Parts: sequence; C-alpha cells; structure tokens
Amino acid sequence: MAEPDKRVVKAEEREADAEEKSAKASGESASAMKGFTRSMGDWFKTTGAQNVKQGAGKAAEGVKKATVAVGGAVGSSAAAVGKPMLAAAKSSSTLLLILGVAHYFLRYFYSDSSSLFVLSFVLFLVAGFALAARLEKERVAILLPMLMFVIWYWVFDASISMDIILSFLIIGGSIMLLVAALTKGGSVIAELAGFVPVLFLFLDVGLIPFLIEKLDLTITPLIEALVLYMPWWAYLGLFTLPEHPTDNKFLNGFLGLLKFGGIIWIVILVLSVSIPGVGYEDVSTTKVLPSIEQFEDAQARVKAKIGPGELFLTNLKCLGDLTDFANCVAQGKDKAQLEATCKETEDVKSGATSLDDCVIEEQKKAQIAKSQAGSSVDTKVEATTLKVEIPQVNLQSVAKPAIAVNLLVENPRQLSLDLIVNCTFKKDSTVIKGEVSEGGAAAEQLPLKVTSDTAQLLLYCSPAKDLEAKEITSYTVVVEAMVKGMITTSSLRRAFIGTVLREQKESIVKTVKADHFKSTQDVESKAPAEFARINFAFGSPEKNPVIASDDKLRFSSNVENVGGGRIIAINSYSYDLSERGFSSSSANCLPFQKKTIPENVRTKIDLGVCPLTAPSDLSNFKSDPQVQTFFATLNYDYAVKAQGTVQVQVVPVG
Amino acid sequence: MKTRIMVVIVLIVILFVSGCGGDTPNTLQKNYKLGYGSLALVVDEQRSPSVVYQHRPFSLALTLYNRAGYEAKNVQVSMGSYDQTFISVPNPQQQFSSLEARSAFTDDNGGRADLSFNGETLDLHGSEERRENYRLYVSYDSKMEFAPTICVNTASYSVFDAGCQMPAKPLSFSGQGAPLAITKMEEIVVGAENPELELRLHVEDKGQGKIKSMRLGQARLGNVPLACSFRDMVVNEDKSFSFKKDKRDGEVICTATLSEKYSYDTSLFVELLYNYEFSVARQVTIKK
Repeated sequence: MAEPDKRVVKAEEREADAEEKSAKASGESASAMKGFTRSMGDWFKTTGAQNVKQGAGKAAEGVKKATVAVGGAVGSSAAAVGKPMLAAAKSSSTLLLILGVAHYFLRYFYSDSSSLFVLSFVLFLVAGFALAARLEKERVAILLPMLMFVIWYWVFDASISMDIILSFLIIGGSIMLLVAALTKGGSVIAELAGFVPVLFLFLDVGLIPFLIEKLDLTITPLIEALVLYMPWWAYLGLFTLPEHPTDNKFLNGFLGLLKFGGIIWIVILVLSVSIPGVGYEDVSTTKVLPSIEQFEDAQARVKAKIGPGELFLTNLKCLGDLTDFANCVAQGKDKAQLEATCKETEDVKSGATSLDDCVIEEQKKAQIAKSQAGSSVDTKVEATTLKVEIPQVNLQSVAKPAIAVNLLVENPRQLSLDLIVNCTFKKDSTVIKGEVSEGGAAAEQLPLKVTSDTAQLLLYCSPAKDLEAKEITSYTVVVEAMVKGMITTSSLRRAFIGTVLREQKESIVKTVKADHFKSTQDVESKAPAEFARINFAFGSPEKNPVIASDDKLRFSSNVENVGGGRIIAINSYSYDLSERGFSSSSANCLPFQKKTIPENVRTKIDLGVCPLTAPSDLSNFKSDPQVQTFFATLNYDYAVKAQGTVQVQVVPVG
Repeated sequence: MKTRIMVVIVLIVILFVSGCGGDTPNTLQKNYKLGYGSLALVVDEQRSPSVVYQHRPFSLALTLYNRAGYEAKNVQVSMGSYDQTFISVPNPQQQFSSLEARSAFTDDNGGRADLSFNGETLDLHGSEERRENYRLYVSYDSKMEFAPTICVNTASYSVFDAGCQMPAKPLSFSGQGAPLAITKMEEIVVGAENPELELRLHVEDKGQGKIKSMRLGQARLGNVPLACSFRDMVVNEDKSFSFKKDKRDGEVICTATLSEKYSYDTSLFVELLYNYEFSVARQVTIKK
C-alpha cells in the first residue's frame, strides 16, 4: 500500500516539474518539440499514476474499496492531471502550429509529395495528441477513429464496395459503441474528436480540389482562394491552443485575433459554398476515393489553374468586394500577369512607354486573344532553352575591350541548333557594332552549332572599332543570340463520339470529359515551355473537345511568343490534320502562309479562323468514343538578348 | 488501463468473429436469383502491365464473370476511348454469344469467359512518358424474373374467409439476381362489380452500369395473362423502354380482371428482358 503511494507522490512531483518546464517550452517556438516530447511522457505518466492508484486500491481493500479508491484517485488527480494536460495541449498545439506553418510553406515551395505526405501524417498524429491532451478523460479513445480511418484507407484501399463499407461500418461502429458503453459514455467525446484529424488530413492533402475535379464542380475563385491557400494544420494547432496559452497578454491577444480571423475565413468559406453544376460519372468503379498522389495531383492542377503565390495577395484585396469577388480576382490575376510581362519589355525598361500604357495595350490584345486558341505547357516534353549571360566586368582600359559572354544552351531533345550571335555597344544614341568570337576569329555574326543536350559556350564581344573614352565612360553591351530554324511541336487532343442518340450524348460526353479533359489545360493545345509555339484548336466551338457527327467544326490557330525574346521570322508551320483526312473550305487556313512579323507584337500572331470538316471515319461511326491527338509544327527564328554595362577609360600607351 | 484492456479484448474478439466464416451453404438449395448480380470484368493485373514502353506490345488480359442468376446473351466487350495516336489495338471488340448464369454448376463467380486485347504502343512524339486513360465497355442482353406468391382478395369488404390477407402496404424485395430489379410491389383492387387487380411494380437499376433498353417478356398471375405497361419511362425507337434521363427507376403497372370473389394465394410471374451496359476506366503509362 505504502509503495504505490510513494510512486504516486513521485509521479506528481515529476508532473509539477514537467508542468513548469513545459510552460516555458511552449512560450518559445524553438523548444516546442522538446516540450511536446516531454508532455507526451507526462501524459503517459499521468495515466500510469492513475493506474497505479487503481491497482493499489484493489490490492489492499478489495473490490468495493478499490472502486472507492479509484473514484477518489480520479477525483484527486483531476487537478493534478489538469495542469500537465494544459501544458501538453499547449506544447503539442504550438508544435502543430509551427509544423503546420512550415508544412504550408513547404507545400508551396517544395513539391516532393511523398516527403510532404510523411509530414502530413506526422501532423495527423500530432493533431490527435493535441486534441487528446485537451480532453479530460478516455483520451486513448481518440485513436479509434484515426486507426479505423488508416485501416480503411490503406488496408482496405479506400474501397467503397458496399460489402466492405457495411462490414467496416458495423465492426467499427460496434467497437466504438462498445468502448462508449464500457466507459459509460466517457469516451464519446474522444471518439468524435478523433474524426477531426481525419478531416484535416483530407483537407490538407487536397480533398476539396479533388472533389472539384472528380465531381466536376465549377470552382469559384472565392473558393479557390479560401480553400487552397488555407494552412489547415496551423489553424488546427491555433484552435487547439488553450484559452490563455502564454503569460504575455499581447501575444495572447494576437493569437486570439488570429483565431478570430480563422473563424471569419471559415465562415466565408461555408457561406460561399454555392458551387453549381454537380455531376457524377455514370459508371462508378470500386475505388472512388483517390490515392494521396491523386490528391496531390489534383491540388497541383487546380493551383496551376489560378497561378502562383502572388495571387494570394490579389485575392485578399478582393475580400473587400465580396459582391463581385470572382470578377475582382479574375481582373487582379490578369493585371498582375500583364504587369509582369510589361516590366520585361524593352519599351518599359527604357522608359519609352509607361507601365500603365503598356498594361492597357496588353489588356486590349488579351481581349482579342481570348477568342483565339489557347495553349498550355506540355510538361512531358523537355524544353529547349537559350540564355545569354554577361558577367560583370571591371573598368576597361583598352580601346577594344573584350567582354566575356556566356551562352547557355539546354537542348534535351538533342536538336541540331543553328545559332547566330552578335553584339553591339551603345552610348546614348551612338551604336557601335561589335564582333563576337569563340576565342578564334571574330565576326559580326558568329555562327554556332549545338547538337549536344547541354552546352556552355564562352564567347567574347569586342567593338568593331576603337571606343573613344578619355574619361570613364559607360557603354551598354547588348548581346543577341538567335536560334535559326527552331522547331516546336504542339499537340491537341480531341474525342470523337460519332453518331449517338440524343439522350445518350450527355452521359457519353460527361464520361469522355472525365477521362480525358479534366482541366482547361487538357482542352487546349500543349507545347514545351520554350521560345514560341503554335496554338491551335478545333471543335464546336474550338474549346469543346468532344465532337459528335453532326457538329459543325471551326478551326483557329495562332503563334505565341512565350520565351521573353523576339520572334524574328516564321519560316513555316503545318498541321497533321490534312493527312488525317480533315479539310477546310477555306484554302488559306491550313496551308502555310508567309507572315510578316510586326515589330511591336509581343504575344500572339493570329494565323486565322476557318470552318473544318472531319473525315467520315471520325464522324459517321457507331462505336465507342475515339480519342486522337493532333500535332502542329512551327519552324521559326528566335532571338534572345542580354545587356550589361561596361566602363571604359582608354589609357594611352607610353 | 481497464478501458484500454477492454478495447484490446474487443478488437481481438471482433477480429476472430469476423475472421470466422459461416458454414458453406448447400449450393443445391441456394437461390441464385436473389440480389443484384451482374456481369463483372476482372483484369489479370500480372498479364496486363500498367507501364508499357514505347513501340512495345500492349496486352490486356481479362476475365468476364456472369454473377447474375440468368444467362447473358450477345455479350460484347470492347476497349475504347483510348488515344489512338499512342496505342494501337487492331481488334478492340470481342463478342460471346452467351455466358452461363451463376448456378450450382458454376462457382460463386458464375459463368466465365477469358479474353484479351493485344496491340502495341506507338511513338510518344517527344514526350518522356504519357498516362493514357481508356475504358473497357461491356454490353449484354439478359433477363430477370419476378416470381413471388401473392395473396389476391377481390372481396369488397374485409371479410374473414379463412383465405389469405392482401398486404395493406407495398411489399419490398431485395433483387432477383440481376441488376434490373423489382424492389417494391403494391397490390390494388379497383372496382366492385368486375374487380380488377392492379400490381404496381417499382423497377430499379441497382447495378453499376446502365439499362439501355427493357421490354416485357411474360407476365402471368397463376394462369391468367397480365396486361402490363411501363410508366414514367422513355419509349425508344424500337418500342423498348428505358429510364428517364438521370433516373434509375420507374414503374411497371400490370392488371388482370378477376372472377373469384374470395381470397387466395397464387403465383405471380413477371419477366423483363433488358440490355445492359457498363464500363470500367483504366490507365496505362507509356514510357519512352
């Protein structure tokens, strides 16, 4: 009897000690992990202390007395348990908050989904502990739903087969009910709390984006902003923090404000869930829930659709205009993209055009371009890149300084690239031609050939005539590298459903879209992320990827400059439509037409719109849908430029 | 501690209980015309690699099981909706005139047919790899039989005549061994002088696919032929019926004029013939 009591006293002493240490730890984010580990120890120690008391009571005074002892032990230890639990809750919630924020940023800047998933799973466990630590009794029961979910998802492969679901629900439900009955209802709250980490795990790995794609919901920009940019784990950590987590009133107030902000955010999210157009696939397979990879893919695709991180701020600004949020976000997104494009242009850099004028001009062009064929990046095809670098140079003291130039070529498709490099020296309005050499003979236009997958060419640029600079004079060195006869191939996928009954058409189209055209990118033509590309589309209208026998088809195409340089010439372009049996009543539409490239064109050069007729084998047939990919090839000359500054002061010899 | 021990005990007990199967039912006494069994396509994953290299043979080995309680006829399996630019399958359709029903002479999966689709992967046009989706479509003709014993009572008033009692509420049924099932039946007697029995049969598609068309085979009440009509359904060009758009159920109303003025038990037999189709989505990765 005496021995267990001593152990209890010791345990309580350790708890008090741990409480102090844990409280300190929670105040400092750097020591949160330490506090968490210690608190976990406390948690189990506390449970151990209770058990020791129970055991002692039973041994000494028999069953009846033991019951009284247990009751007393639980009652007397409640206060002792409460404080360590608060500390445990504090440290685990702080850890969840910190790891949640880290995980959120890692997700956006680091795309290794397997590592992120491991972190998500760790957060799942930490969240379970954080929630359990806030409960007063039967904390272990929180593991039941978490364990059940893990078994169902991984062991049963998330099957929704009625047999498995029914068996699982019956067994799982029975276990939960039995545990609840055995604990006289004490475990109910813990069991329900166990579903919270499960829900957050799904929210984190992209349940909502997946549902958007799987169920074909029309996602509004408001939902995009609110759901995809939500640091779910961090918020769970924030909400599981105790009422007064620190001794600092200011910090407590700040955390309270964050909680309030989180609530507002979630309220907006809930209120705005007015997503129209829910549709389900006609044919369901046994496994409808996705794997984690599918979740991650879906999230990545939806995020790609709305663009990179700076949109977050744009979207936040639009929260003030909830009545027209969708429009506000769309406009903000377009404007941010146009501003970025304009900042890169020579006219804006040199001050010839103001940024605002450039944006207005680009907006007009974008309006026209919206009706044209769009494009997306084909990540499956490796892109060719060309980069000119001019390392910083010191003050030059000769009349014909040789400026080092690095030409970096990535040629993963191992094309035979013909390059021509030239350079000029500029001072105010004076332009002095330069000569380029690769260590040997110099030429105004230096031809180079690259066939390897990567190449780093070390070049030198010198003025063709002596520079006159008795004082220190700054010259701008402009180096231009042109790739001649560059070939970029674009692909476009279309599905043909042939002759189908009117009442069947809708479900067939829905299935084909779910299989092959899940996102806007799948509907548009795709090309590798290099210099320029030909965008093309056809359908009824062009952006409808599913074609039935009675559809009147329209074709449109354009050439888009995406490399930040200049399209010098379009040498030729072709589509494989004719060889697949497509024809057009317009003679000038599909064959190559020579185009003059206007000096001021920065983005798209329209190649035309015309009616198109599909061959009979792709229109008048009665069988399963036929899917085909079409290709368009663009042959063009493209130039990229770089400029640097060189200071020259010619020192007379002798 | 007590709770945790109990949780562990409960888990172990449930594991044992769920792990123990019941007695194997006597297959000769088993009624195979129960439930919602349909044709099922099972892919032999070992002989159907999910990753195939460019310009290499593509193969897909399958087994088609008939888990329905009725023979399937005109069975057609096809591979479709694949991108023909990257996969070539010279013979994407296969047909079987019939597939045996699940019975005492087959295993629990019913009659089976093995089939395979063979072809090759084509040029990836510069891509490192492509994930290609495709579908396996299955369509077949079959039937379902609804044959309960029902009580018919045409008496005007509820007089006890030592016979049987007609159900006051619609009766529920749990499938007749086919995806097309009669799930509810309501008996209504209309008129007093020449009473007419109206049977309202609620028909549902409980399978994973879609009923393309259905028509009435036989309908009898004892030896009396029933006049049946399809309600809340679409009439197809070939006079068959199908469910309305976005609906998976409808009604069949069968009537018979009865001469007997007392209650009696009799057998009802309604046979529906249908054409069914379903598809299974698959994916193959083609690598360079």
